[in-house]
Amino acid sequence: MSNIVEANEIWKTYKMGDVDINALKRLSINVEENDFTALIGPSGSGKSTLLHILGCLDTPTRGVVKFDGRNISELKDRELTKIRCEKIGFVFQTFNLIPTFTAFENVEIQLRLLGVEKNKRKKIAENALETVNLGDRLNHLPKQLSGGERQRVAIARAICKNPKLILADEPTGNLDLKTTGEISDLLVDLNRKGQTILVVTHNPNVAKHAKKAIRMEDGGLVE
Amino acid sequence: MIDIAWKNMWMRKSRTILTITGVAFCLMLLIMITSITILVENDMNNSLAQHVGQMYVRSPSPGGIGAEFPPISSSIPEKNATEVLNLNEIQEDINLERSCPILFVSLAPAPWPGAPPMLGVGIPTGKEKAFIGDTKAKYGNNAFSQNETEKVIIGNIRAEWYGVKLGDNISVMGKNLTVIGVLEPTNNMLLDQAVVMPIDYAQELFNRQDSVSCVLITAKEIEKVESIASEIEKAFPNLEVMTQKDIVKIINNALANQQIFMDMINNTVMIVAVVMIITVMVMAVTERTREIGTLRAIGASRFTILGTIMAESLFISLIAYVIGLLFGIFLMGTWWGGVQTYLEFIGEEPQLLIRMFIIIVAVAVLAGLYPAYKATRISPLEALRYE
Repeated sequence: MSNIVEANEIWKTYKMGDVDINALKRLSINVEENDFTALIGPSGSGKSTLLHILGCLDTPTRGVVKFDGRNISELKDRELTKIRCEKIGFVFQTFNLIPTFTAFENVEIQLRLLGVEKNKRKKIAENALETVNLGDRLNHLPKQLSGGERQRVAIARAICKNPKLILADEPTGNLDLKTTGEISDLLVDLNRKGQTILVVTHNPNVAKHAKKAIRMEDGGLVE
Repeated sequence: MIDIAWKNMWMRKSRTILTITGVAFCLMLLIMITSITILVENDMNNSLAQHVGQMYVRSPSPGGIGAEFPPISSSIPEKNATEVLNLNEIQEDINLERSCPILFVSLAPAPWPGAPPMLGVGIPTGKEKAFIGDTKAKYGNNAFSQNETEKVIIGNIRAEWYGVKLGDNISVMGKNLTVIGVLEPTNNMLLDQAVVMPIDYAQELFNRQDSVSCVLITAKEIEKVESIASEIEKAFPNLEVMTQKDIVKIINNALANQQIFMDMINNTVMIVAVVMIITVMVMAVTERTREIGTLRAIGASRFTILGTIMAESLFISLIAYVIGLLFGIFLMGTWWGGVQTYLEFIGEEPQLLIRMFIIIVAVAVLAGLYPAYKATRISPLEALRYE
């Protein structure tokens, strides 16, 4: 199995006035194809920071992160945007759907950003929403959907482009127990179909579905 | 991404409607001001066309020969006026039917800088054509009968201003004067706004006995104008002769002044429109920080974000353009003597609509640039944390 993303001895340091705060300390991690990894750990342990760096939303202060073999610190904003657009699917705790768009349009916009033709977009977006069992909610606005349904729209948006990696940041953080189970099952199902997933979570029920759970504390990994 | 811009615009309906209303109001003002500017320019040019071959003999003007038209402040003894008209050296070259003494009195100041004042005009009976030219009467007569007093012929706009018809009385200097003629519209504002009366009665009414403002001389041939002017100046060194060349200078000065005034208003109106849109768009960008961050996170380029915000600014401006145009046409129509008449004017001046369109697109681009730039600088990471 080849690595999709590899981080080698990375540091992330924030300046708070005169004080340097190390959110990540000499951390190394690899995400291989078809992995389903759960990053667990207490608040402030650096999980989200690591996820943002692995997702090309941020760059490390020191160390090297390679996505698909390319050092992200050496890439321009335009190239990072292209990687995010083509290769990474994001799922956020607060869903981050566009409120004025229907479920279908929220998925379709990802395909538009990729430059997919209009007739193909329709088919792919509908299939993605079918996959997450929202085939009957295509024309609903986010405010007309439950929390679980919104998160499934976000997952459909992430999977519609067939990304190399799905990064999920507390995907069940705003959901009840039953819906958490449904979303976890959905992620497991996607992974079984070959999708690589890295999920940041507090929830042990989500973590137990992953093939591998990595614990983080104080900016480092604890195996 | 145009649909995002369109849908975002209607997310805050009241705010968008208020902004569109404000910008439409600005555009309506621009249309009105520009229409008036074009109208005045046309009137000036029409006035100029009427003065071909004419010259005004007047008392020296303190501001120089080209400082005032018509020569309202001028005053020359009636005796001198008669002597000018009887000057032997010019008799063969002047059109006597269209040459006569005239009394100009300002009845009301110019409605805006550069526009002609509203005039009372005293003219000898039988010489009306010297001032009126070939303008026909819309109602009644375009000339006085001998020994008529307390009678006036008025221009088309003046008739509308007084709201009078043939046979009605109008009050001038506290006297009731009967309207015996309303002239056809001429596009010459000086004439359209004039109240014309026999000169003898005008001298009595305005307390200008034995004096007139000037002598209007019409040359038989345009080529003779300069030689006639030179003969008069030689014979009457205490008088000035204002030829068409001087009138052109005055009109150009007046238009330049008017243009400065109108440009000041136009620029202010444009700045107000730009500031309105910028304010709303900056608010919208701030409110949508999270949404913009999400789009950036899932792969929208800075250029895509820029385009979305610019499109929203353009939508607001174009809707305002249509609304402003419709209201502008309606309002100007009521002032212009009917929407149909104003539409005919626009038909003759299509550059008005093109100019307005260019202005509104410029407003949209100017107003959209800063908020759009601000939106492109939003870091996806910061935006995702934004609450």
